[in-house]
Amino acid sequence: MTNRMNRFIFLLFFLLFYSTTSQAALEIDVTEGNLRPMPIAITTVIDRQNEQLGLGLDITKVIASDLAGSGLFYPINPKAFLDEVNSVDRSPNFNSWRVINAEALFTAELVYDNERYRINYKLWDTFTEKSLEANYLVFSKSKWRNVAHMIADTIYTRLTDEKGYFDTQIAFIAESGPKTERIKRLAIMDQDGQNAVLLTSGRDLVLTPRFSPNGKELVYLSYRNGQPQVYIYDIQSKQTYVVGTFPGITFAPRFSPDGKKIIMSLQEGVGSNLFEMDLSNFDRKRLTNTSDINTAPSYSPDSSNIVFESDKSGTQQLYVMDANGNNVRRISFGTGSYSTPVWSPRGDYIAFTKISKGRFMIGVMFTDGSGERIITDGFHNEGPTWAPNGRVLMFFRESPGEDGGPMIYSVDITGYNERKIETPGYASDPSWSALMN
Amino acid sequence: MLAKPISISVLLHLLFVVIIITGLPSFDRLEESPMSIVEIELINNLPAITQEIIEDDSKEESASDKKKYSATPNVKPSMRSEESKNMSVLENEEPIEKTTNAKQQEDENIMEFFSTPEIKPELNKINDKLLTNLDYDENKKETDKVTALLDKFPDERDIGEMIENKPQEKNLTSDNIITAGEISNMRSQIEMCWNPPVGVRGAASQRVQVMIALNKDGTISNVEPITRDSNGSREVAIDAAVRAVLRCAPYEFPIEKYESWKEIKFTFDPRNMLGG
Repeated sequence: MTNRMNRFIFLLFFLLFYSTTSQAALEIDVTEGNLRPMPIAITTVIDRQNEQLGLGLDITKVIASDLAGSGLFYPINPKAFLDEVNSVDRSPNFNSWRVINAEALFTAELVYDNERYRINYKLWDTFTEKSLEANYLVFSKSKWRNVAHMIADTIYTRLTDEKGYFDTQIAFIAESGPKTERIKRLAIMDQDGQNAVLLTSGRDLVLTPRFSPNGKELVYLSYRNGQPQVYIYDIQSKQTYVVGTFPGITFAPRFSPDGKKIIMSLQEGVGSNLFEMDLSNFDRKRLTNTSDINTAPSYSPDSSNIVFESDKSGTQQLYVMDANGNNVRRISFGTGSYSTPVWSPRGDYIAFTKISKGRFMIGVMFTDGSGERIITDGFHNEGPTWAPNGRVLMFFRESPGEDGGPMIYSVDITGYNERKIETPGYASDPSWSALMN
Repeated sequence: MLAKPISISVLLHLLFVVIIITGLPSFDRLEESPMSIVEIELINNLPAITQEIIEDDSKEESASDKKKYSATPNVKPSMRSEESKNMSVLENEEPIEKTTNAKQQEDENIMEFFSTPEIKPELNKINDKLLTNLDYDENKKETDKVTALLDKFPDERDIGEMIENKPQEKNLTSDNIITAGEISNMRSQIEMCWNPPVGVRGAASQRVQVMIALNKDGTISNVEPITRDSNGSREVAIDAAVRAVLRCAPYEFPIEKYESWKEIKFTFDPRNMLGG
């Protein structure tokens, strides 16, 4: 009997050992990562037919600049490349790209055909050795920047899972002249500061431009007829329209997410109230009716709610109400005052300007007011606007001193990767468009 | 993909449990069946044989040649064939060191076992089967088969050794299992390589599991993401996890523990990185 018992015990040991160590895989939980810009090899766009024009190189530079500017990518210096890409059709030698630490590889070539260009491009994962994206775009030469931005958006989306924001424009106020006699003009530019165009002469003071959702119009405040009024500027036709006839000063306009309405403030006595105007029939609807200063309204992306600022508590604070004006609730409770709230296109955050102890900050909070986070802090930061993917903010920062003036900056909502947008002169009040194409 | 390994694992475990519960008598049967022949044919000689072995053993021991020989009850069935040659082969093949007392104890156990009535019907059945087979070669084959099985499965001597060397066996096992420190090193290594998409909405819920198979030199022989889009993990998150695993290769683990690390299942969970 002892032998049988011995045998049994041995078998038990044997089976336990066998089943636990030989059959089951070792399990490892990984809960912390290493967030860093992803190294990516962006090879020069091959342009065999028109190499002397350098268009391939120009497109390559824009793509690399966009990706680097996002802070999420690290384009590897082409001098470090060990391999040359001669064709987008051939599968690359992945090892030579892994050696230089490239996790992704971009290859493209231009084909010129009947006064139009066609760019064939591919994105590779050098470790899994699979093609992540393979596509082409046909374009006329004047649109090459857009094409470069669109390709950068595609790469960004495929590698981060977020929508891109490179093929976008910024409406802003271009400022020139001395501080006391500052000339302010309506202007637009690409998100990287290129292609800046002045839209108004500077004769009338203009403020707070906001893009329409389709990117074709701007709504803004102008002192055109002596008193401030809300106007719409049609970018293509360069025509200007006044928005309705209000018995007083209208300001702080913004389009609804569907582009069919404009919400704005109307001065009433010492205070101001919020109104919504239907652009199809110019019907206006009152949303607030108090003697406070209610202003800076912004819709939630689903149009169900509106965030705005009001001084009904004694200081400027942020409030959210239903789109019909009901159910007003305060969401900001920190020290100082809060203004210029903007609902993220992604719907999760509200960005704002916060003034506390003489400092102007840009911050974000969840839409119920929780999770307040200051993104940037300084002498004067104001007027946040969201990139269409809700991941990046632009705002303007005023520098102190007589010669000081505003410049536009972009920053990731994590607070990292702040960078100045190069503009021809001083620039303020940015408004980020949706994706253009 | 997870279902297959799990079902295989469950089946194997069940099989092992069944073997433990019901399979043991079958080992006995295999071992004892030739013994039962002894019981029928040479029942009267058995004690003598046993004695003989003991005598042989004592002779060998007195000759200080412990390595060469030691008797075991398992040998007895072979003796049934009355082939001393066969016996000596077995003896030479399976040397064992045991005290005479232990052997005597075992012999007593065997006698006790033979006299156990409830075993007999079963044994007789097999005996009948074997006895009806008159071809010697066939019979020999059968015996060889049994011997082969006995060689394959641990017999009492081996078990005896195992039990005697129990602490040593335990050490060997724990040496082969990867240590917490080694796992921690591996985790740190992987964390450096993992750059997940954390900006996207719902990033916190994008848990990804990746199974890798490793060669002995620590290089990867296969990578298989277990998690598919079904649980909300998107392609980009899966790609990032697979890339992390590939970027970090080769892995350095002690080669003697290869069995422990030849397959690794990684669970990538970015929740902590996003503040819960």
